Amino acid sequence: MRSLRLKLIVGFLLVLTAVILSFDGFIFVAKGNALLDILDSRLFAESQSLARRLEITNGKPAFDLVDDNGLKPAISSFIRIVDENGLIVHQSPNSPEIPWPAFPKNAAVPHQATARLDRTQSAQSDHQRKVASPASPVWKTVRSSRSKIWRTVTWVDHLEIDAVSGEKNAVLPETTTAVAIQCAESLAETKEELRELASLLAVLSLAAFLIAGGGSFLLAGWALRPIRRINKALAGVSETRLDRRIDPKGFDRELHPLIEQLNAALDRLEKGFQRERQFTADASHELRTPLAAILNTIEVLLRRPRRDQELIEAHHDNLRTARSMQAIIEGLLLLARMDAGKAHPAKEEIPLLPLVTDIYAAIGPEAEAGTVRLEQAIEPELRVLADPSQLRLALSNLVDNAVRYNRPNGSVTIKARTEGGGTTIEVGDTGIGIPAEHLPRIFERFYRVDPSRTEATGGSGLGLSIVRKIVEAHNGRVTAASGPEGSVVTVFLPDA
Amino acid sequence: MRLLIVEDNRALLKSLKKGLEEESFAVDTAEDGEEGLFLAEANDYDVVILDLMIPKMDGLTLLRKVRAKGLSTHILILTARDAPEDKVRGLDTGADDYLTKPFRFEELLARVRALLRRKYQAKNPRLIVADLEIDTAAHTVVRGSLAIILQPKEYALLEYLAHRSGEIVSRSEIWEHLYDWQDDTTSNLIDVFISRLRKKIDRPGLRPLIQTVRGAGYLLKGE
Repeated sequence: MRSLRLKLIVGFLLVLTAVILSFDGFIFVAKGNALLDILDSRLFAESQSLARRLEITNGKPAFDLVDDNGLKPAISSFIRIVDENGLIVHQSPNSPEIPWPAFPKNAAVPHQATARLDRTQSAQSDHQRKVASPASPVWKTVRSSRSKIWRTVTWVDHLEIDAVSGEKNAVLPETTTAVAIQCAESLAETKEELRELASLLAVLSLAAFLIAGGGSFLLAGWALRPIRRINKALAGVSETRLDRRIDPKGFDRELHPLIEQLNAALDRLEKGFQRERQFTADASHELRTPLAAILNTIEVLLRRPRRDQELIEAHHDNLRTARSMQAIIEGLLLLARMDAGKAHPAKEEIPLLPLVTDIYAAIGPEAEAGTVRLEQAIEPELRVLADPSQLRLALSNLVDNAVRYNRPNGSVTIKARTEGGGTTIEVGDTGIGIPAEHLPRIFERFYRVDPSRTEATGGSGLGLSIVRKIVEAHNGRVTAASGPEGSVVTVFLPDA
Repeated sequence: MRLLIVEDNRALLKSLKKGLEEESFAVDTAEDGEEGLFLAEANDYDVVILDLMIPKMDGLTLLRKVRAKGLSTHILILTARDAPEDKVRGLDTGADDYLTKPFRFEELLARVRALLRRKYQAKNPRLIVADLEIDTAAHTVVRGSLAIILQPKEYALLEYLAHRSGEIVSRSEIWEHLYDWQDDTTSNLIDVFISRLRKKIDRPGLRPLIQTVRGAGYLLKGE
């Protein structure tokens, strides 16, 4: 499920379903309870009403079902009267099989009948036991064997022993002082009513679900519209049209940070592409010019027969040019390897002094030709944590530059000291210096203070950028400073 | 014909000068923009071959300054910059042609010759004066049905006179278009070349084409 719109819709519908279901449940339970309450009170009222009409004369129960106004009360429930021993005193005729609850044990039996109907009070008979008003009714739902559900109410009442007993066909024994009055009614109607309610709720809920689902589909689409717009705006940004930006105007406030971030990312991307393009253009230029020189030398040479001396001279020229191309290509390859994260420095603790002596020995003849003195101030025991071949290359490049841009009878000095959790190496020259405006850029590839590429200064144009790359691969720093008396490049290599 | 090459790659400069001189051009060279500008202003070059990325003053600035001074020298830009926008900028700054490195020497020569034709308002690469015919591409000379072998300087002299046929050309003009500034040839030598050329072209029995105008110079004329 990778669609945001789908996620929004599904999430929304899940919440909605939960809400609808709890709402439905609440209504259903509340309605059920309300119906049961009504039923219960009716049942209790009927049982009371019946109880009041019950007259037990000489132990025989009888109902006077006609009230004072000569009306029969509407009784829809079944009644049973039972004494504490389980003896059924009375049961409605045609009563279906109902699993009546037993006579409640420990039932609170009132000592006296709590109420009395006027009518029974004024009854003339002396021989009666009267059922008086009820106490603490107990409601119970029971299930008959035919899986019919009944609601029953049971309450116990005190029997007033009024008078004569010992009647022959008495139903009640003399000892009986209390009876349980029970009323039962089928829950079928209630259940039916609840079933109808459930159907209604189901239909309404489904309708709400569908309407909300459609609504959420539209709403999610609407909410996602800015994303489509941003997408459309981004589609206009291509490698050749990187200068395009998304205008936050017309977008909602919440989206402004996103758009700003996108624009900032585009800025960086554009700068990166520009650098890349500039670098490619520079590299092709740096290679094409010497290539043109080699090709032209050969072409001119081949136009007519040549003397040996001319051939040898041309070979020398081409060799020199090819060497300069080789230096550029090797520099480019090294930078590309380091850019790609290969050529990881294999660091080890190496003594610095022998390395510097080596570099001086290799570069010495060249320096002598320009009469530049090579000097150093390095403690013999000073050790540096670095990749030996990479450090050699970096220092060679620095010394090379220092010699190349020096003045006649100038000098190159390497100093080193341990400080700040690492080693600081300074390569200083007594050359013409670097104008301040060029200092920040001299470590860029092919950057030249003077855009000359004559062999007088030579170099691949990559030396300092290789130095920086190597130092950065060692987690170090390289900086340059310059004054009228010369320039100093400072390399810091950390010990860890 | 005299050319100026402004180029900072010495190897390329050297081989260009050599190749062009062997094609009987007089070639001056400059390794940076300032020197190039100085030379371009000081001499009437037939064509200037100009690199763009040169020290001290870049090629486009040089070009702009040359054009601002009203110099009508034909300028060919020879550069590693091959982007269309660079070409447009170069030509719109006042260059007459644009060639990218690396290049074929033959093509460079052909373009230089085309610029020379433009300068001397000749559409036909064959220069014809009466029954004398000069093929400027092949550097061959024919008079009537007879092929004439010339030394490079002799050829250069004849081609220059032919380009300006019908006009009187002074010795100093000839000198300026035939020799680079390092040559310490005196204009007397031109008389020597003229007489050599006469021997080869105006043979006995043929109508002389090269005439001397006393006190003024020389004239190559058909009738």
